[in-house]
Amino acid sequence: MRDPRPFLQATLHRHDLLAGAIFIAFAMFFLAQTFGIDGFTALFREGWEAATLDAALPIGTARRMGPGFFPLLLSAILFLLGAILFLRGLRIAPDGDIHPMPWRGMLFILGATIFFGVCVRELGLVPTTALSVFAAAYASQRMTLRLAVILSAVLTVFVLAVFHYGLGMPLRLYGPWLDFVLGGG
Amino acid sequence: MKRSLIAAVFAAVSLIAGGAAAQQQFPSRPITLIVPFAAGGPTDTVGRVIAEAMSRDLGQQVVVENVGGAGGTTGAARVANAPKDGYTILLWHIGMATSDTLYRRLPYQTLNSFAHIGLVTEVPMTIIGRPRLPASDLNGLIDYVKRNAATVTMANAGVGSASHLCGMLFMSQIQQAVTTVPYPGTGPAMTDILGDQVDFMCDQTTTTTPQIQTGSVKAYLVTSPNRLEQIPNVKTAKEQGMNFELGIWHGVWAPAGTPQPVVDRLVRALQFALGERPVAQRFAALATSPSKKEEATPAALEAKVRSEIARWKPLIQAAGVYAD
Amino acid sequence: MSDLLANLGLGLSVALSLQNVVFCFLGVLLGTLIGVLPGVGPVATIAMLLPITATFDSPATAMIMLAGIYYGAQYGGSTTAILMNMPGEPSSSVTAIDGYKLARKGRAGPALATAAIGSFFAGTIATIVIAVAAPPLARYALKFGPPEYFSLMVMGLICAVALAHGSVIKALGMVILGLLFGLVGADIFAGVDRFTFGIRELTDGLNFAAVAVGIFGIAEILRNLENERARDAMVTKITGLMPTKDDLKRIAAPILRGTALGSLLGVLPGGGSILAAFAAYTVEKRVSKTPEEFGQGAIQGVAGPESANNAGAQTSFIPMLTLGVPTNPVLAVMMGAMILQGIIPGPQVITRNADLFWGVIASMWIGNAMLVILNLPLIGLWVRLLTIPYYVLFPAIIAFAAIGSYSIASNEYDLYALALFGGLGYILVRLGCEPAPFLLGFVLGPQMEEHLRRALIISRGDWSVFLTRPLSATLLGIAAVVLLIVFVPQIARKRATVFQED
Repeated sequence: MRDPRPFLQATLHRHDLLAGAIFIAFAMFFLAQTFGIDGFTALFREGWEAATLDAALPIGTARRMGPGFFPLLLSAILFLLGAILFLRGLRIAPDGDIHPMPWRGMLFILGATIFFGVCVRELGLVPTTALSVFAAAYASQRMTLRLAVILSAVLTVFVLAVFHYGLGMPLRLYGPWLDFVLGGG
Repeated sequence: MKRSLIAAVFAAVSLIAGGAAAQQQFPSRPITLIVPFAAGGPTDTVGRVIAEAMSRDLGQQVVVENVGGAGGTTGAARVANAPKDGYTILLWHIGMATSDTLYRRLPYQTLNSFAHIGLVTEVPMTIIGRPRLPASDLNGLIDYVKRNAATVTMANAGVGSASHLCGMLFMSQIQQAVTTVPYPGTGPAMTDILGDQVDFMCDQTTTTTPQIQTGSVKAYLVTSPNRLEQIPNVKTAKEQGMNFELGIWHGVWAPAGTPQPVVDRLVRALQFALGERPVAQRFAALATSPSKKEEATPAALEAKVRSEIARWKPLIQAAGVYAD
Repeated sequence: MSDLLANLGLGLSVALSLQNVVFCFLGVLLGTLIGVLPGVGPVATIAMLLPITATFDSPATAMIMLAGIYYGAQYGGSTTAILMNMPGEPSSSVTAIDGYKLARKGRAGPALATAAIGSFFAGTIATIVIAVAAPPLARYALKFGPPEYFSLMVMGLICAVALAHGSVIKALGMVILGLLFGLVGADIFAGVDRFTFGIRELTDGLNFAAVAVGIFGIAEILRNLENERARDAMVTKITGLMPTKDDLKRIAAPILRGTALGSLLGVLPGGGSILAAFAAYTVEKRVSKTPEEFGQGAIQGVAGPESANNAGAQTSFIPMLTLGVPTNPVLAVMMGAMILQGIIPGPQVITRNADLFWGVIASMWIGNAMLVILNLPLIGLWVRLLTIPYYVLFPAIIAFAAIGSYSIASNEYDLYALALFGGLGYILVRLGCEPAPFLLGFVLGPQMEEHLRRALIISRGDWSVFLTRPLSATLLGIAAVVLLIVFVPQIARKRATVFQED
């Protein structure tokens, strides 16, 4: 049975292929961190023994494991599992869903979360919550300005009541970035 | 239209919030006392006892936050880099002085990154062994360690911890290296001592006293000059013919550059706490006592840090043990 | 036996005093509320309340209230896991698997009621277990050394693979990935930072709540936004608030098995009750005649793990009360509370402070009864929450997740983790990789490495220690059997399909 769809699309719809690639990528990421540049140089010039000593996180021996031993072991297993998945995904049989990617949702929701992290200390709890909720709300295509404003206001008041007044969370309500607006402080 | 709507919302919200930005007298909000070890350990215990008493003097909660890792230096770095407003302070011990040598790359400068507040207490240490260790006194233990040098194991709470320092001193005294087994705190280490999984450990009386009192572990030695009334059967080093004195002194620090009035206020709160009867009682139950008022001062703490750096530097360098 | 009755009588007389009943109720109420808010955990709450409880004149009252917060939060955490796929506690991530599917099918009511009934039953039995067998169970916990813990964790992780209903390779991969992310932070053996890119905020590691809320909750929101116009994300009709007779028949045995597993594993320090929840799910899936229902909304998949998790939460008090060693961070903070009350935690508590010891134990049973009384009427309210349009609900979830994550350590990197694991979780789930095995790996990662390294230091590099110690060998044996059970049908199925294609 031949897959009638164009190649790229067929590939994206292959779960095993992509999952395998992601596992391999993470395995490489942790492996690279464990070895570091010195470790890899040593591996290619002088071989395994030298690499275990020069690695960014030394590997050590079974008796005295270094900080790199367990990560190395895990990355190797993950690489292997990723490779099996990847090879399995190369079969022609397409297994896919046809849901679109929620790009809009990802942009607004992940963006709002990161915005919260960047601003909460400098802008303060109140403006940051209001703006984050406002932005997150737009992840839905059904959002209207009116609803977003109401949501933002109601949730900000609620959060203030629960976390500031209720739990006594030690966090400034208006941060230093707003000092000039509020007249110093 | 859009803008005015948003502005209206902000106005409403800020009304509810009230004038939070107004300057208030220190302390106007809870203070975080960073304990650079896991909750439940000996340093944590000392921290929680004084935090509670300091709260009563300051009229604000002193909240203990456990920031473990890298022998205490992670938590210390957190305080060194915290805002210089006195709302983030540190409770640490002898490790402040020893890490200066143990770590070749510290993320702060021991003597320049902190404002000293004062000494808190000096806790004696005890060497304890698993319940089935076949040695009944200190000389028996030394003998056992030397005869089984290849297999004996000594627990500690990680490089730079009080238990590690004491262990290092012990090994240098008996001139015998022992395999060390690190734990993320003395709590888990104690579990493995109680379960006969590791052989022995040297730890502060804050954690060992209850176990010694109930006979759950074997006790070989107390590092104070005299016997302790809480554990009267445990002999001192001198009684057993060994020169082994060691106290784990604790202090409180703020970030360097904290305004003098704030430092003074914290010193007052610490001295108040140490003078409280309940604090003395809690400390006594843990086989230690609060520092005297003249020791709970910035000058006394700074002198202690300087003299202890000088005492431990050669020891650590001779042992050649570094934490990084 | 008469001793036991006398002790329980003493405990009940303490726990039933008006003051203690009131504070027990306050504790479980506060715990439930905190558990329901995503990201806000019991450790932070108990630490915040310590100074207040220190002013109580009776240590028993303080401990009863703090214990109430602890198991109340366990309980509230399951509520959000079922309603919104947001586990607040590591152990409730198992509840989320089938509980959330049930909620999507309009059966949130029975799922929540099952959690309540299972927890109450487990709490009752676990209370009796503590009263009868605390000292012997504590001695049994001490038999576990580093090799046993390592083997136990291997077994737990294999269980996590077994509970996945998709590909075994993907589940294994997720466990390993979770273990790797769990290693981020300072290494206690050498004091070296790992995978932190020099960011000091990461030396304590990634925060569990941020990772869990991201990979479960945020990912789920993104999934619901996939095809907004085509389908409504939320349930259309709600069928019944209480379990049917058939449901009750189906949950009886899982509750019993879950309680037994939880009571035993909860005693072990370092994640015993998490392992119990995962193991209970695996057991239920294996003994079920319809394992294909698991992951699609099987009520047994809520009953077993919820009972295990609650029983484990209770018996995890045993080592603290009898040996003076805490089994998890919450209990470590509670030990601090005992010291502030002038009581030295340790083996002497059971004799020297008998009223406190038995009072706290009796209060656990009373507290569990309160939780049921409190929560059964609330089910109607919770379920109505689901009728709110999704585009109104999800901004609220995001707001709580963000502030909750930040409130744990005032660390903005927890929010970046929330976003990263939200996006990553969404992609991985769409590719058929399940988040529960990842989360267990993440929780166990650092502990597993510690025990491995410790075991090999003590055995002087001899790997056979894992097989020569009987307890460790047994645990590894169980793991191997489970792995075989998981792999064999897969291989058989694959061969069948291969032959079909030929």
